[in-house]
Amino acid sequence: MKESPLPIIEVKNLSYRYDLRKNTDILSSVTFSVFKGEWLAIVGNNGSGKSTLARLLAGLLTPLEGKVFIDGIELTEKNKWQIRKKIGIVFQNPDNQFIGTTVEDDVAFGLENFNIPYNEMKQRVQEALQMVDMLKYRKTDPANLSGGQKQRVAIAGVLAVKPEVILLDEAFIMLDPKSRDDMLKTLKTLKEKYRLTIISITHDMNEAASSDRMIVLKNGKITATGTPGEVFSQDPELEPPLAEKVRRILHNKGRNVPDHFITEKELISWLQTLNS
Amino acid sequence: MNKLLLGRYIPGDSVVHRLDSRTKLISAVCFIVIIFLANHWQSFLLLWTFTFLTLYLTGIPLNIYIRGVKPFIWLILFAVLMQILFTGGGEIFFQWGPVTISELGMINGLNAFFRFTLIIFISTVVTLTTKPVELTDAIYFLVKPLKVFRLPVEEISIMLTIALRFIPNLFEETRKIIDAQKARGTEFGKGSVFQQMKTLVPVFLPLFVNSLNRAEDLANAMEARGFRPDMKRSSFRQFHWKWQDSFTIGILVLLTASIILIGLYE
Repeated sequence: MKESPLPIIEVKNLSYRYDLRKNTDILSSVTFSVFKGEWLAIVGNNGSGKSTLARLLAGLLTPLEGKVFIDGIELTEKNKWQIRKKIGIVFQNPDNQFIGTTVEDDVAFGLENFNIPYNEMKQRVQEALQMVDMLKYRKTDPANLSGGQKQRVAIAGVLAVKPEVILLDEAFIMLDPKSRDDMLKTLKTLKEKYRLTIISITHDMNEAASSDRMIVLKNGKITATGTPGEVFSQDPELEPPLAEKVRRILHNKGRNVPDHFITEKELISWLQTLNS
Repeated sequence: MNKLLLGRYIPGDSVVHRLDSRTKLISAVCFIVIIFLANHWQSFLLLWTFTFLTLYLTGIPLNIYIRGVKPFIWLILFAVLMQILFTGGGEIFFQWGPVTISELGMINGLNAFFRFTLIIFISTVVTLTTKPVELTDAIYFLVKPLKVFRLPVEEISIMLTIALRFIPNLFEETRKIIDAQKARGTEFGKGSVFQQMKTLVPVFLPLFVNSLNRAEDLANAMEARGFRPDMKRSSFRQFHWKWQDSFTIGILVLLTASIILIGLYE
């Protein structure tokens, strides 16, 4: 893994509660770091606090207790506007985050907000659209785009601002499996190319399994962290991704499968060895 | 929704389409003003020639424009009738109590008819050939000086743009809700007016709730992407003033001058 020791995001004892009259925290004392260039998956069931965590990281909510440091700077009410250049967020619903009336207008929205001059803006919009392969749709209006295309535009809008971190808040949940796979592939390439850090909040275990590291949230607390291999073998309650499921079934039937967690690729190459 | 032509945009690449939206807006306003200055057949001849030339240049079939006039036909006929029946002057053809059909009344009626149709034609040209966003941009540009009076011009312009952006989504959602209610056995368009209104409540309620949720999502997305009200923003959509724009404005100046001259000397 191309991890540098310097964390790009540090979360310290973060707590949050929507209803201050109640005693139940939606997040309680969450502490973790995200390193530059890694793909971190945060998984958890509905109500585990993962979307709240995303909102706290983007400065959309103010923490009850605890601190968030982004690139060494503490996120506060005062500097959240500066920090938003460093962290871009893609939300769940493709329609509700499409602000422009055409694709290029939408990508430009973030740049307009940061008062980027027209010529630079034009170039950045074009580059960003090229990165997600949507350049030929630049004059199209959102009503004529599919959900996957709209999410691509949302990602382009984030990329145009040139952030350090991209936060995906269940960004692929409304997409069909094919476009979900395509999106993941595109993001993987972009991440390698531009040394982006990606935090993906999800309950799709296949998506989580392809990450570098994962964090499991349960009722507002971190219950496990580690590589997908470690986490899936530690936590029997967590629904494993397909390859691991297949391995466990075969293992229970007494077949000679590897003992440890395997990825889809490993499963395929193992299956191929059976043939030869 | 297809019946109402007002506010619809028909994509195209005609000279009129390519004009700057500010030119179109200013010209339309100017044209409507001079329509009211015109009161001679020569003036109307000029205005009609100009209008038909513009209609021709848009490349949009004439029957679409005529369809635009149709919803207003009763209003126009009413205005014309009022003029004909209640204006006296010139040679009187028929009189019965307050009802007078006179030469002047006939002329005024015809003028009223011309004015209405010309206004509708020209405003339809603007809306059919200009994207709603471009129109908002033009409005924004023209009301920008009002910032001196602390009018939040930028915010209003953003609000307008977003409202326009979500109109198709709202239509789509309304259609879905209506389908869902139909599937549950609601019959639309039946019974008395009161009953019909009642069946619409379960359509509008979810629509409002969804819109509020959508607004919250949108506000979050806007904030996360760095939108701050009352901060200076740059603009991605730029105006491009071309010689055609200057030409159009020039023609309008000439037209206004001729209408005024005809009024003075005839």
